[in-house]
Amino acid sequence: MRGVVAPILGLLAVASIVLGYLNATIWKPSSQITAKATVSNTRYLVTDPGVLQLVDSQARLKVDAKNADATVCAALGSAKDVAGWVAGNAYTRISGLNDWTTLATQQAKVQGTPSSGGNEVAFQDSDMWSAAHCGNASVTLDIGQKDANSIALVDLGEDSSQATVSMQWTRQTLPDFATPLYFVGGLLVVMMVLSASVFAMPARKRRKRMISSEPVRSSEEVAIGEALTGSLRGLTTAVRIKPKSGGGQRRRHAAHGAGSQEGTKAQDQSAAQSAKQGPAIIDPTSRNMVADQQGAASEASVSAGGEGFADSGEATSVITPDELQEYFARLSQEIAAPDQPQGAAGNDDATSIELDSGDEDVEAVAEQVGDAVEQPGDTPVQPAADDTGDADDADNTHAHESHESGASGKDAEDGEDGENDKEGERS
Amino acid sequence: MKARSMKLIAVVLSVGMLTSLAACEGQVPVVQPSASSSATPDMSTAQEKKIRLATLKVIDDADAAKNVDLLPQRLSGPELDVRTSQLTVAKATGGLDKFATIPKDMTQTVIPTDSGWPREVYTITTTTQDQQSKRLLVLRQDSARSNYQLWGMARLFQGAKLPKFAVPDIGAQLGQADDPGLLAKPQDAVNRYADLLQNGSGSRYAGDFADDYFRQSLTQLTQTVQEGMQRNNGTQQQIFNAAPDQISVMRSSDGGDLVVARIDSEWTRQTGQGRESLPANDDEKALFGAAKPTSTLKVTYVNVVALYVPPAKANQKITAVGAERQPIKVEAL
Repeated sequence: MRGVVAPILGLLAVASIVLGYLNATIWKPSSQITAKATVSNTRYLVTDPGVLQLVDSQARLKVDAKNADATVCAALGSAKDVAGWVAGNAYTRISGLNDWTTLATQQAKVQGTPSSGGNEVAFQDSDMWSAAHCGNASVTLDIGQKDANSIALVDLGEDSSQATVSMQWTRQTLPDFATPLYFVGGLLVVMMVLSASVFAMPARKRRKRMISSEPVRSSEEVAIGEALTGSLRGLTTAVRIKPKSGGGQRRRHAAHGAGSQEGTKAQDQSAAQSAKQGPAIIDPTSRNMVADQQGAASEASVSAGGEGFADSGEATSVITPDELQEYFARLSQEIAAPDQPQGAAGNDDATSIELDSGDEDVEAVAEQVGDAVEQPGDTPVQPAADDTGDADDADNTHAHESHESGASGKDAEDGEDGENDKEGERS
Repeated sequence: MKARSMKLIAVVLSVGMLTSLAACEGQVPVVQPSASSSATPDMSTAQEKKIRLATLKVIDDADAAKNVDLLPQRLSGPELDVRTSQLTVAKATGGLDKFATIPKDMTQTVIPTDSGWPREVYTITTTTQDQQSKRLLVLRQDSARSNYQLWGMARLFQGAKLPKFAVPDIGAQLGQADDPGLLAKPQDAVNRYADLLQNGSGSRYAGDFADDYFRQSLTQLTQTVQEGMQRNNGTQQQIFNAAPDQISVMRSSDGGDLVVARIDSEWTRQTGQGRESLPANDDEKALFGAAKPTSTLKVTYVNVVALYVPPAKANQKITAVGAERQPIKVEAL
């Protein structure tokens, strides 16, 4: 979601906004529309109802006759008046726009007989026209708001051969392509942010719930800022075409799965190990830790052993330094193991213990070891899980920070090593 | 590989948007058929005004020049005869009859939506400056290539109640001479009114018509003339005939018709005892001119009457709402 969808949405958003800007500036539709047509062998030109107002209510009709001596007249009138005037004559219909620069024309003939009254008047003198003009070879007619129901009739004269008719509209309201694009761009931005943050989270949440039935801790949710940072990083890696690298987020995802798998594996291994080498673990520890915690009788030998360990490593005959090292390695494994199934956060608990847990954790470890001494047959994994769970509660913020900073399995191992060292120093 | 294909899709989408949304003027508009084209009024009130003023200008010009030849440009039907007579009288008497005045402003116009020809427009003017009654003008266009002409004019009676008509923006409807559903067909109503004018209260159609000013004054005039003729042992006779096809009908909103029609009449006066029959008034004198009088004088009148014919179920009578009467020819037989 965050790695693929969000970048796509981001790209689309940028494209929409850029296109919107272009449509508002250099691609802005022209306010002047001029369409032309050439007609021949016709005396009358008639526009269909609505053609004059096709683009805008403000229009200009211009007719240029090829014959320079011809008297060309144009008039505006109602459709029935025009039909009455041209009754019985062939005429050319101007029926609309073929495209933005060409008028559509058709040949037609009005049914009926030509008017044959004895009181005929000249074209431009008819009462029926709301406007009429005549000119030599050329005539222009302006169409305004009041001519909404009018159509135009052009009389090219009896011996007309060819003429060019042009309609020019001045668009008062231009089609606005920019605003929808801006709007879509805005929506895409919102969708990108959502897909990078909110929509990216539920999957993780669900995974967590499946493993532990603990109540969802709100502080574990990804903060918007963090999510945005992550998605931006994803965006940059997506833009940078590196098919081989696999991308940071991919590795992170892998770390999730791998981490949890490894964690489970490690847990199993440690359980198996503790089952197999159980006595070996307990024997050196019991002696050593009991000696640390308890009475004066064994104090001398323990201190001697501790000093010996610190000084030469050969002071006690019971525990060798190697054995101690081994023990702490296992211990840290046991502490770390229960958290690993929870994903990268579990891995980082080791780090958090190392940084913040302080003496309490060490004491907890000591108690745990004590328990192990008292009940040698028990597996030490279970109490360790509880303890580290508490530690996790205390330090989950740090855990997330380290997770978001891309903690990998290697980091977790480093943390374990560090803890080992620390534990070693304390003991 | 998958990432590459996703990126490819993104690029294709972007390019698709780019090409489809690149510079364009928008979709080429298509003419939408108008639903109301069949019922639009024949003209606007502005056009009516233009036609009315053009008509009155021709009349004014003819009046000023005392030239009846100018009149046919904008006058036709009974009004052409009436105005020609008035102008002839004016030429002889030096002044136009005050009843010949036509106010230029209008109070109401009735514009039909009919698409054929002839077409008519009714206009009711304001009262004249000397407070004469309003004029009802009937403007008629005979064909598409002719102009509107003042076909008829009737002076509306004082207090006459006209029917209601659709407003000019909506448009009224022209009627026919044989419109059904009325108290009488328009042409029949005119014929009956002619009979009523000729026979007075003795007409069998007297009950169909409400009393009106025109009939009253004509009856009064006839009686006066009759009395004079009787003193000279003379006779007088008036014959009224509705002129065929000289009728104009406009449907009102209540289903009735306003009918304007021409009724020709001949008034023949014959004196007894070897006396000469002379013209009765200034108009007749002017029209008679210097002709030699005989014992018999025939005066031809043009009467224009405006009748309101109500619907058959309206329980009303046919009412004359206006009239004009003008002698057009005076001759000695």
